Amino acid sequence: MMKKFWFLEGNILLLWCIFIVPAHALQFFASVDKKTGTIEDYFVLTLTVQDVSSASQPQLSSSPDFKINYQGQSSQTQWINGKVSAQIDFRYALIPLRTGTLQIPLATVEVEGQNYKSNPIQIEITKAANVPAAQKTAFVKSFLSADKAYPNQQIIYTFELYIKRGLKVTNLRFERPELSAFHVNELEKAEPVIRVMGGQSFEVYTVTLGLTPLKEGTIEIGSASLHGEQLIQGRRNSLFDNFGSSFFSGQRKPFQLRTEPLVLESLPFPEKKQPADFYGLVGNYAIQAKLSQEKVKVGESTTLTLTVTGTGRAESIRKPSLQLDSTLKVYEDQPSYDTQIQGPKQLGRAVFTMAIVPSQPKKYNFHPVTITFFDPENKSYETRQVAIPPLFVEAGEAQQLTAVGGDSLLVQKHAVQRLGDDLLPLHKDMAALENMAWTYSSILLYSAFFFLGPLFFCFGLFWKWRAEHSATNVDKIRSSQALSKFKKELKRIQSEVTEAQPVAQSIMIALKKYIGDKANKYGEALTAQEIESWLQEKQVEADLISKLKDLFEHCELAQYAASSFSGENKQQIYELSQNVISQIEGQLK
Amino acid sequence: MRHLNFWILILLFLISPLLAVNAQEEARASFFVEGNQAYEEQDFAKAAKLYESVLQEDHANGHVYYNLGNTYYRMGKLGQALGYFLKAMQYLPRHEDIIANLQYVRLQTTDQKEDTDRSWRQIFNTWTVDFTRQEWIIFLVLCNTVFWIVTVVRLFYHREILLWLMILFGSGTVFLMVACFLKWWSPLPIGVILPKETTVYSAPHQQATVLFQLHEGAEVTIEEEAEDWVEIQFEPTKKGWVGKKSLFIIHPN
Repeated sequence: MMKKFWFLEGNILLLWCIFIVPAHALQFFASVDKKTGTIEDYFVLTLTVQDVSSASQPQLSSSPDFKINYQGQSSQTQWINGKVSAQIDFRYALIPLRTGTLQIPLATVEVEGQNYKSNPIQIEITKAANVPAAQKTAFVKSFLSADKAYPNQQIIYTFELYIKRGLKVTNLRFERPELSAFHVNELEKAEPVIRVMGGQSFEVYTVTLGLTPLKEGTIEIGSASLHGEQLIQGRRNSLFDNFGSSFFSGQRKPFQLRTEPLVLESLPFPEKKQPADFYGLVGNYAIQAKLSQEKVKVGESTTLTLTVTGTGRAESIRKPSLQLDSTLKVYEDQPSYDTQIQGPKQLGRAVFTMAIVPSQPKKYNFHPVTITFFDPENKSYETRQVAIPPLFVEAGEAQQLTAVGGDSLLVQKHAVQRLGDDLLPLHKDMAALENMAWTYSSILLYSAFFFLGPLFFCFGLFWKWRAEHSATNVDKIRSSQALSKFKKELKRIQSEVTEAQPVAQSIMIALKKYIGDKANKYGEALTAQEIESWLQEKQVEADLISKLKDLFEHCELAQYAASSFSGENKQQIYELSQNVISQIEGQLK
Repeated sequence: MRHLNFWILILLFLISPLLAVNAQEEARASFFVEGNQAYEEQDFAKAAKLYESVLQEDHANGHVYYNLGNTYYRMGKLGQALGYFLKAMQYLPRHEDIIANLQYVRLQTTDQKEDTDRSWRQIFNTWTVDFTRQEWIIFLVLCNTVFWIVTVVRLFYHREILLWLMILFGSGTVFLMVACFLKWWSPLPIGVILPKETTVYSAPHQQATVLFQLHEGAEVTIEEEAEDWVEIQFEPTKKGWVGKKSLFIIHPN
C-alpha cells in the first residue's frame, strides 16, 4: 500500500515537473569559472537554462578571440521549500587566443519558439608567467635554422613539444603559424627523444618544416600552438563523487601551449656583379644536355633534354634560354619538376624536353646552354654552362621526291595546340522562332496517331468478319430473291412465249428454279420426287405439295398434248402457279 | 449591301486569330534579330531583354535559351547562364554547341559535386536525357502504329514473321509507354544557385541552423517548394532550404 503511494506521488511529481515547470518565466545566463587568467589557461563557460525541462543546445557565436570546445551538458531538478526548479547546464571550454580584455561571445537558445540571449561576460587575459622551462610540466618552443635567408633559399623551422615524463596527454593538435610568405615543405618526422633539463626528464616531440621565403624583407612568423587534453587520473573519494563514471575514472583538462613569434630577415640579392640573366634562382646547380639521336633525316625528330639538378627548389628553375637555327622546328613538352627533401636540404631536379625537327640536310651546331644562380653558402653568383652535341641531318625522303618531281606534297604534321577557350557563338538561324513548347494541336495530333492504330485494327477485323460471312449470305440472298425471280420469269413467259408447248416447259422450269433457289440447289435438275421430299422436310402442308405435283403433271401433259393448254386454261395455270408458289413461300418463312 | 457587310464582318472575325498569330511571329523575328545585333554590339543587357521577349506567351525554343545563356555569361552572371544552357538542353539535348558551352560554364563553378546519387530517378534521367519528351512520344506513336499495322496484316496473312514482328513492336510499345510515363512524371525540377554565395538552412526560415553554403552555378535538385523557400538537394547527404530568389528554377518541359 505504502509502495503504491510513493509510486503515485513520484509520477505526479514527474508530471508536475514536465508540465508545470515550463510555465514559469525562463532564465538563461552565462557564467565562467574564473574571470582572469593567462594566455595558457582555459576557461569553463557554463550556459544555464533555468525553469525548463528540456532545451536544445544554445548557439554560441564564433569569436576570433577564443577557441571553443563543447564539453557536454547536465540537468538537475531541485525541490526547495516546496518549490521545484529545473535547470540545464551546457559547458564549453574556452581557450583564449590573445591577451587583453576579451568579450565572451553571446549565446542564444530557442525554447518553445522563443529566443533567449545570454548575458555578456568579459575576462582579462595576461601573458603567461615567466617560469623557468625546467619547472614547467609541459612547454613548447620554436626556432629557425637561420634568422637570415635569401628568397628561394630554404631554412628549417623547428617546433618542439616538451612533456614531463609521466604526464598523460591526449588529443594533441599542432597548429601551424601563418606561413603564406613561404613555400612550405613537410620534413621527415623525428621520433620522440628524452631530454633532461634542470634535473627534470622530458619527452620531446619535434615537427620540422622546410620554409622557402618567396619575397624579400622582414617576415614575421606568428605563434604556433598546440592544443590537447591532460588526463588527470584519480580515485573516487566517496560513492557520490563522479557518480556514473568508472571507479578509476579520469578527468580531461584541456590546455594550449603557444610559441613566441619569430622573425626572418629575407635578404635582397647583392646588386654587385649580378648577371643580366639572373632571375632569382638560389642554390647550387649543375646542368646537362642530351640529344636522343645525333643523326637524323630531314623531317625526322630528335629530342633535346636539358636536366638541371642541385640543392634548391625545383619549381623555381626556369627553362634555360636556347638560341636555335631558324630552320629547326621546336615542339616543347611540359617540363617536369621533382623536389626531394633529404635532411635539412632540398634536392631539386627540373627536366626540360623538346622535339627538334630539322628541315635542311646539314650539320647543326648549337650554342652552349647556361644557367645562372645565387649560391647562398658562398654568397656569390655562379654560372654553369653545357654544350649540346651537334646534330647531323641527312636528306630525307621528302627531299628526294622534291629533287625528282618538283614541289613535294609531303608536309610535316603536328598537333594543334589550344591557345584559349571561349563560348561557342550565338545561334542566329531563324529556326529559333519555331515554337518547341507543347501545344494543344501537337497533343491532339499525337493522340490521334496513337488511336489510329487500334481504329485501323477494328476496321480490319470488320473487313475480315464481312469476308467470312459473305459465303452464307449468297444462299440467303438467293432464297430471299427466289419469289420475285419466279414472278418475273412468269411475266416474261406470259408476254413473250405464245406456243403452248414452250409455255408449259418454261413454267415447269420456273417452278423448279424457284424450289432450287429456296433449297440452294440447281433447280432444273430436281425431280418431282426430290421436290416433294424437300418440301415435306420443310413441313409444307401436304395439300399444297399435291397442288404443286398436279401443276407439274399438267405442265408435263401440255408438252405432249398442246390442245389441253390453250386459252382460258393457260391463264388458270399461270394463276395457279403464282398462287401455289406464294403459299409455299409463306409456309417456308 | 447589308448582307455583304455582315459577311465581311464574319470573315474578319474568323481570320482575326490568324492575323494576330502572324503579327506575333513578326514581332518575335524582330526581337530575335535585334537581340543578335545588341549582342554583337556588346549591349548584353539589351540583348537579354530582347531574347526574353521572344520567349513570351508560352513560346519556347532551345536556340533562344542558348543565346540567353551566352548573353548572361558575357554579363558575368554564371548562374543565369548555366540555367539557360540547361533549359536549352531540354529542347535540344544533343546539340553540340549547347553541350560545349554548358561544360565550359560548369568548369567555372566553385562547388564540386560528387555524383553518388544512384536513385532510380537519377539512373532513369541519365538514361533518357538524350531525347526530349516530344521525341519519346514520337517514338511511341510510330512503334504503336507499326504494331497495329502488323496486327491488321496478320488478320489476313498468318505468317510467322508477322507474329514475331507483332511481339517485337508490341514489346517496344509497352517499353516506350513506360519510358514516356516516367519521362513525364519522374523528373524533379532542378535549380541553379544565382548569388555568389548562398546559405542553406535546416528549415525554411533564417533562424534555422546553417547547414552549408553553396556558390554561384551550383546545380541542385528541388525537392519541395514553399512560398518563399525551396528545399534543395545538392548531394544525397546535403539537403536543406534556400530562399526562392537564390535559385534559377528549371521545371521539366
